[in-house]
Amino acid sequence: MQATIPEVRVTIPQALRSLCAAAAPLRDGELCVLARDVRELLGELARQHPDVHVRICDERGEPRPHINVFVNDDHVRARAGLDTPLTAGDLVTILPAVSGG
Amino acid sequence: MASRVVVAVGTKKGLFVFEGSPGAKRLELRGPFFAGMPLNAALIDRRGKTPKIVAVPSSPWFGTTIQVSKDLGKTFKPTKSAPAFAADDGRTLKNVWSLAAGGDSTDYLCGVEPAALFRSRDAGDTWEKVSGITDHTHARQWQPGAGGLCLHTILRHGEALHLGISTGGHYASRDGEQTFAAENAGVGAGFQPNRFPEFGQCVHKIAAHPDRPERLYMQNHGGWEDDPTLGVLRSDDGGRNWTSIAKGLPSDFGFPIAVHPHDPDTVYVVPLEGATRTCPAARPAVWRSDSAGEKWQRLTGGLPKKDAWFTVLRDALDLDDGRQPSVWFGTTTGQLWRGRDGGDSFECVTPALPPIHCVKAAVV
Repeated sequence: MQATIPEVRVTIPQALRSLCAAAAPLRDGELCVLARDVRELLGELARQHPDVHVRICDERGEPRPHINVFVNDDHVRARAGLDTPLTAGDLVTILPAVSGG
Repeated sequence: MASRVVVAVGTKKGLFVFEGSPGAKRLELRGPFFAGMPLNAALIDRRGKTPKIVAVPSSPWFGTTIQVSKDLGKTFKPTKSAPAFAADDGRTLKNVWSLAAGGDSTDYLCGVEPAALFRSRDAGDTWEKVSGITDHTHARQWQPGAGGLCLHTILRHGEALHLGISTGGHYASRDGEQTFAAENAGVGAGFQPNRFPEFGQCVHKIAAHPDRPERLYMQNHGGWEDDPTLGVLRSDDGGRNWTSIAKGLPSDFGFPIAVHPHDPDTVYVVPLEGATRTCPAARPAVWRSDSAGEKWQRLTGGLPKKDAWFTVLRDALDLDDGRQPSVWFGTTTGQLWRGRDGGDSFECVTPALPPIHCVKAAVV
């Protein structure tokens, strides 16, 4: 039997919410996405919301240097990076870093 | 409509646009657009019936977009995409440093960091790399300067396309951008054991006038105490060979170089101290030569007489092309200056913008 793909919630940075595709709209600043890990989630963003994905990820499909991705309270860097697994109901938060000056 | 002077000012924190009649004492200020995003590149494109301001904000967080205004900087709209490397290239776009009009009515050329060149044939909606320079056999050997490894100068001049890369040097193509050759004879690199390598020089800016296709001017990375001839250069053979025109300047270090729009012999630089990258003795001056660099004149009218540590970056000086062009320059301390009548008398247009990266001026 094929495993069910978990449905997770994804928060999109405020500055990018207007770029989300109308076909899969935001609800309270969140998207619902089916993905087994963070890499697959970013791939789904590229497919469903390309204008958001290109702002979050570079040409290799990896988060830009000043973009942080959290699964629940954990930065993916502290887990398995883009291979961090997802389970149903997880909250993935994408945030710009506190960099600048 | 009566002519208007338009000045696009890219800063560390967004784009500002100034507009007014060429003789006006005060100009209208609009902006900041793309607030919080640094801009190194902008273009005032007058090829069509409607002049366009094309700006390139590069957000440290959200990447680069190409933004077009058809109403002189009142509103901007992004194109459908921005330059990007292929996923398997290994390089990722960090910044955009130059934007230039291409050879027909809708194409653009865009120089980026890490040093590479992209072309759009559809007014910025789609982009393709220019392989002749982006995949040049030298490309993986270029090294970043303090500002990054950037392709900062795109100059269509005569039958050639000239590029300036820091640190890569000067490259030219004479076959429609199919191939590029390093042309750096006489262009020094004071930071290398071999002072005159084939490539790898830290060229800061290149300028030329369309009426003299054989002549180009270059601000190279000078400031070497043991050789003050490396910084300010001229070529009289289309960029193949370069010689110093720094004699008479207080320093051969600097970033911008610009040519008067109506006189190919008149050229401008802003000499800086090599160590501090600020004006010698903290007394700002623009230097002008009306003899193609043979003799220089110090222009200080209206500028602070002392205690002003101005730094003017490579794209932060420009001349509009009005009947009596003004010299416009911006400082990293956020001042925009206007030198009327070719720089005879300066006035501070605005004293406190964010650090200024680029200034583009035109009369439309």
